[in-house]
Amino acid sequence: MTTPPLLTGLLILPLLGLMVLIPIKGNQLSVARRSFQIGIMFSSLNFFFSLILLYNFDPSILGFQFIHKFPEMSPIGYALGVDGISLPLILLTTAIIPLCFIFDWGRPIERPKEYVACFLAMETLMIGVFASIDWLLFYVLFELSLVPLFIIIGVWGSKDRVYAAFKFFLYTLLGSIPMIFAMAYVLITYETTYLPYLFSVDMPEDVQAILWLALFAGFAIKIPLFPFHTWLPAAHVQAPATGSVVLAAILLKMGGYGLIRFCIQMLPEASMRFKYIAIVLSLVGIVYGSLIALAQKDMKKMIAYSSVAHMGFVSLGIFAFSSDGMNGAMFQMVSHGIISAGLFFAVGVIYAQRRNRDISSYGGLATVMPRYSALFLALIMGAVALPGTSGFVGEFLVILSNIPELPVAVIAGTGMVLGATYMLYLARKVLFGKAEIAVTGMDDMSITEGIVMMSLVVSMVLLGIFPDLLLFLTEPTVTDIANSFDTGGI
Amino acid sequence: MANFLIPEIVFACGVVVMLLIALFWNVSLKKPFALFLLVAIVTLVYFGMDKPIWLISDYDQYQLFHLFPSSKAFFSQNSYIVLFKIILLLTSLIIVLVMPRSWFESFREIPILLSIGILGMLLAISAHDLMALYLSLEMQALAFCLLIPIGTHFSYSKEAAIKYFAMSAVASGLLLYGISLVYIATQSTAIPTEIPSQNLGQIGFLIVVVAILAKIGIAPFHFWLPDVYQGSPNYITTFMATAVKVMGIVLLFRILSPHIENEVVWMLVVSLAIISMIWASLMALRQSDFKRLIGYSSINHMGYILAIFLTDMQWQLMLVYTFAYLVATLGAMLVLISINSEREKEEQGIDVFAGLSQQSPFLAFQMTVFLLSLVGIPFTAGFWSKFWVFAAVMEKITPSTIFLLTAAGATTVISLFYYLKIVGKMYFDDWQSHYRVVQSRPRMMVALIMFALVIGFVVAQVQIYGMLFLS
Repeated sequence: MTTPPLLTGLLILPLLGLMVLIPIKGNQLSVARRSFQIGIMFSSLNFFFSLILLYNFDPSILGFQFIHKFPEMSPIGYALGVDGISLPLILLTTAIIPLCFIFDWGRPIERPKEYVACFLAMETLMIGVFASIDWLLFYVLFELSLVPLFIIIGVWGSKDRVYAAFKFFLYTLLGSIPMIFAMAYVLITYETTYLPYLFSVDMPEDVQAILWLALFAGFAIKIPLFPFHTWLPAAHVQAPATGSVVLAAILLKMGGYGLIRFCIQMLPEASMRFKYIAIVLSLVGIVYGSLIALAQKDMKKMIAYSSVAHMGFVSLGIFAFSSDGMNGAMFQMVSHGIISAGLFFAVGVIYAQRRNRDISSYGGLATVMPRYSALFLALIMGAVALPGTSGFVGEFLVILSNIPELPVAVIAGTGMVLGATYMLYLARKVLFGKAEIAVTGMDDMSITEGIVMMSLVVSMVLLGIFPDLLLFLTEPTVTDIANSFDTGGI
Repeated sequence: MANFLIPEIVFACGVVVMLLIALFWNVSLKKPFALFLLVAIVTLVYFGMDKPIWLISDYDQYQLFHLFPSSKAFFSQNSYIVLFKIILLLTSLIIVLVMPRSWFESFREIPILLSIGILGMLLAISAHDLMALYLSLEMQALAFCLLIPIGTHFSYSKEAAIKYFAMSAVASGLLLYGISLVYIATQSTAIPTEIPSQNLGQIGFLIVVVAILAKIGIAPFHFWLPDVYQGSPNYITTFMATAVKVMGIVLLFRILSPHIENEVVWMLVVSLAIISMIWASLMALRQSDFKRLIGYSSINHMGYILAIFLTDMQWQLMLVYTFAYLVATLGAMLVLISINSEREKEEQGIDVFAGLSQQSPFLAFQMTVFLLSLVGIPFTAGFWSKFWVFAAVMEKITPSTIFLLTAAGATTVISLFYYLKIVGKMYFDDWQSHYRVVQSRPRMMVALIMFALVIGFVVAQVQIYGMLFLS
């Protein structure tokens, strides 16, 4: 059967947009307008293509679909494919990038051409990471995706941007150095880096253990799990609003995705052996991230620490080794992608007007910006995991899957409560209460900002009410993975 | 086949012809020089590449060169060495093409000295005998001693010339001393194919190795190197960091690789590699002069090349790694040359790159690619060569190589910081008005070629070396 290489198309389309960008010339304003037009056009087209992918995707087939290998017989090199785990994340990527462009539409931005180019490059790289089924290709794109974000943070960030950009790049590269050794070892031992083959071989336990530790280090930094999270707040705070969105919504997911793909699928025995490392780190992350978030004065920093807590649920779900847990982890990843993107957009809206992110200097925004406050509040409810929002489904599934080990579930539940505390504090202080002088005269959000936040809120609520919209994609693949463990969960 | 020195002889004739031209006519020698280099490349390809490209497994068989049928072999080469010679000549050709005409007009000895140096390099990497090695190395070193202080008038360059001269003299003295000890032990001056059994011979061999280490500038024998790189004119630094470096490492490889199974040699190579990587990357962190940075970066990369000595596919990896290193370094130096400072007499700090992305976006992008290739970030030649080296070293896993790999991984991260500092300067800082970008056509063209090589190498790498590895 020959299908058109849809996935390759998904990768190439943003690059085409990048090519089209190069010859644009003119004054600042017209360059900005045309760059953003091109950006929106190509990224929306890509979103459309990913919907075609979704339409043709058959969730009941186990294993990879839409496989595109080039050259056909090569043991290493270019190989793409999707299954129930990667498809939701690809959809998330293609959906978030156009929103970023729409959000910044009409905003005065320095060097707009380069800005759009960086985001388009990011899009290709991130889709490539989720779609590659060759370890070498995965590594290449995983690593390369650091470069555009480094430039996004360093050029369009706020005051300490250079420090944050360097910390981000160095920290994450440090994490992937063990991975390159692991990959080199697998390549010389099994003579291929083609993942479907590597899933089927049974590696000796000692080898698995070493590989697992090497891989886990990289992905734990990316997610980020508790002791490796220090780069995240710095990068989030200094990045521009859209940069934070891409970082929180998509880049962190690479870590969770990598854990499922490599640690769980490739090294199942070692995952069982070391699962308590992951579980303990996740729990510490959930509680510690929430507590630290409670003490933050900067909105973006608070949301960044809440990301640490929410992503802790992801790894907790993954290492429950049950289909519920992994479904919950997948759901939580997508849901966190939507909600944290929305929260960062929301902070971006008021930051653009006041150049200020201090929680204490805002208050009573609901009186000046009613529409904005309604949407912001909805997103905050999602972050609190209110039933009816997507945040609830993910966290509930994860906690449910951990019921057999009651202490774990209880601590994770505590994390949920703490999450409610700081998020509601944010809502009370910024949206309600006495109107501060600083907020008088602020304009309600523009139409483009409204479209962006509205679409995120709608998808959040939709997924919250009809979780099957997502679960029908992930369920067969995840059940297949979980069955291989046979832990007799509930 | 005895006629393999023909390219060198042709090139030597070219030197004589240029000397005669310079004596009688007052013309610029740039074009004749480039022409002779081109002729040498063509003859090398014609006489040297006698094996079809797909017989790569035969490439490492040496052919000896006897002047008379009964005499000792003074020179020998295999197809890889021919490839290295072609690379050396191409590099030289590129640098000669970007040199300004005014240089050739005001300093008429430049082409003569350079060509003598290049001839020395060509002969040195095909040396089969220690005496031939010594003579050709001297030829190269003396020519460069004279080239370093040319064209600039600031005090660093005199210091650099004297340092280079002193280092060469000491290294040559050591080399001769080592050769004489080896001769006493083995009654022959041929490069030892096995470690001499007597202590005297072993010490002599060690001294020979140390002399060559000092000439290349591998830590801990590298102290002259950053000063010399900083003090030389940009073009000569480019030469030293690319062609001379490659010559030295191939030489060391020829001498050491037959004995790598020997325990002492193994440990020597491992420890030299580790010291070079760690020391150079730590020192490079503190540098603010771009050429010093390139100097330390080259020492760091020599550490990775030393790691290749330990592997099973030495020649192929040598070729891949040196090529990737050379292309990226050459490209980065060409970008530096393109940003011509009006205060050319002063040192070239990394501040010259500040805000380059606003002044010349394409040049800045190229520079980013070159620097990322030097780090080994994916999708550049540097990544693939580093990756294959790691994989090949991993096949020889012992406690010492685990330590070596750890050092290699750690220094990769450290090296990211100092290369990234320049990328950060180019993209995050503002342009300084007293530097100007000189976009002459040949420079842009050459930089573009280098750029294409760094990127285009990717496909070739995955395919060819993937197959080599897995076959």
